Amino acid sequence: MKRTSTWQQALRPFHTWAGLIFGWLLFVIFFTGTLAVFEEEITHWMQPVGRAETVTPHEALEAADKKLRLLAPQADSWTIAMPQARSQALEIGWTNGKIKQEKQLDGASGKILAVPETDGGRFFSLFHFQLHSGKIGEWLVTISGVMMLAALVSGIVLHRRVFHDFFAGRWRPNWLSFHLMSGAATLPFVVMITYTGLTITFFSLLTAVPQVLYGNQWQGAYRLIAQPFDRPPVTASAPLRPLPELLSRAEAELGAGTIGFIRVTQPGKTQAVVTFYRKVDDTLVAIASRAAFDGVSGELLGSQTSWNERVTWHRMMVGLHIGKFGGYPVAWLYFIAGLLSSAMIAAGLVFFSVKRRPQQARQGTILRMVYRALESINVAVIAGLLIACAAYFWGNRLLPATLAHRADAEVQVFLISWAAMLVHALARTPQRAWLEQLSLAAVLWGGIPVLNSLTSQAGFSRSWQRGDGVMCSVDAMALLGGMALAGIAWRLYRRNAGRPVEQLGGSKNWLRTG
Amino acid sequence: MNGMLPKHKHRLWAWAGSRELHIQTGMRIAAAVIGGYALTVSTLAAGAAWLPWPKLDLLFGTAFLAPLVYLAAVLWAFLAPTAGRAWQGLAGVIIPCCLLVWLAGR
Repeated sequence: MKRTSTWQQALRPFHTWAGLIFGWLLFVIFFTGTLAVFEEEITHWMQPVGRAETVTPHEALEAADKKLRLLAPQADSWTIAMPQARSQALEIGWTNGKIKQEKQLDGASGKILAVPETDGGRFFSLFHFQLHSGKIGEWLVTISGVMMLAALVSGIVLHRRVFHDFFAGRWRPNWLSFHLMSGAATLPFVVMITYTGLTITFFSLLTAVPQVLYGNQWQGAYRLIAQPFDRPPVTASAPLRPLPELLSRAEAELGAGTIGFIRVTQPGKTQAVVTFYRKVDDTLVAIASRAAFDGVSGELLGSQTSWNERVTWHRMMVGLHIGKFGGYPVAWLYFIAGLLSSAMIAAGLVFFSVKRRPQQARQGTILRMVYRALESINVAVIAGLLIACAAYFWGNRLLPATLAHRADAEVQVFLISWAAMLVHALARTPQRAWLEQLSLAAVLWGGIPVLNSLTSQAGFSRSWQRGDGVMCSVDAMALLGGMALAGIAWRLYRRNAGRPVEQLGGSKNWLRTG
Repeated sequence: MNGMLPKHKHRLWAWAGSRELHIQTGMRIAAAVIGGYALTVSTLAAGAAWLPWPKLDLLFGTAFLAPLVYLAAVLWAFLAPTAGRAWQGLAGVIIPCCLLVWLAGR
């Protein structure tokens, strides 16, 4: 005990202070990452259009081919995202120079679907590693990830009895105990998800290494490992072969019913290339096998189904991180583990403030103000983020469908409502801020199914009748989340009830201390 | 206890009083974040420059090693006796590694 206590002494300030500062970031990263597990389902909710029943890949591609020839015969390239198990959308896109356009099609009728422009669930997965600030955000997330690993090490050093208590089922109803118990329960998941996430971000951020290895010839990793099938641009035109005809031959190379994505470069030109990419939702190694055809003669240019061993290892980390390899069972496992990990981080943040409350009466004004500001930030980060995420759903339904830059406007709704929550948290006493923001979060999440049925044709009962389980599940989960938040807010209200506000400020009974 | 800024030590004490620990902690967090970043980039770049392994192994290997190197630097920043010693230790690795990268580029 004595020998290791110096380690504990050294790591305690780290776990407290780095845990607080990076805990804010980590809660945001973990919670939005958890929502990103159901990226496709959230996107489906956010584009509530009636789609025809499942169409065959052949029919889908026929519709896409026809539409692209009509809309963009002169484009530089076409892309077709085929309907998949978890995302029924058939999406076509084309680029002319730097201008990119995307449309969704109904696979059966071939008509363009009037879907609201939105980033959908993709926003959450981008936000969870970029924080809406590009490379700077990626570095912040990466450093936070390293701090997460260090927080795990220091947490275990500080509370060595945690596993003993965990397996003995010895937990108490306070924040520290919840932090420790959920930490022990999620430890394997958090180590896995953080480490795999870091191997992804470091790979793109450590530009010094490829610089040293390859110098100016560096053109990105996939130039090194993927066989190049693209051809230099030409102007001479030649008719493009029907894409559905190539589909069956691509399936012969890559497997029937496995085509996820198709890319056509220089359609309508003599050097047209059609590349078929295999889906990756049934493999741990998240890298798409591909087969490329001459767009004019239809000759197979080549296919790549095997990759360098190092690449395979790295893409396995990606596959483990995104958790798309095992269908819904794995997705739910990741979702629940992600929620629990977020709660673990949140409990640690709350414990920071709760622990310091009893001491505050004895402290100087400045220190009291600092601790109060820290707690306000806690409120804004935890409850405020819950509100901002729900507001993103509300923005999706309430912004006019024809608004210019609509997808950006939805993101603005998210950011502005979050900023408003920070202002609110700083303006109110922490107790009030917690109660009010948690109540608002409960209303917003719980109200999502109501909002959906009032503003779209995809309300719960209609979707239920249509057999749209995904739409119903998103509604149901939002309601469940809202009810859970309402429960927490109610408990908080009961504890605060009957006590004057100023007394609450110094009360150590406010949510039992650890 | 404090190896940093020895000339101003007494003034720091007078100014900070019991907040000494907080300043130390702040310096250590800075060492962990900034020093850890510099250490990770410089060691991995030096390794990539000098290790005689296939380039692809080095390229992808760094992605696997980087989190562990950074983690070690962060833990060192807090396990070192003082914040000053933490910085010294980090610099003791970063500077030679930068030299190695520079030598390889010549």
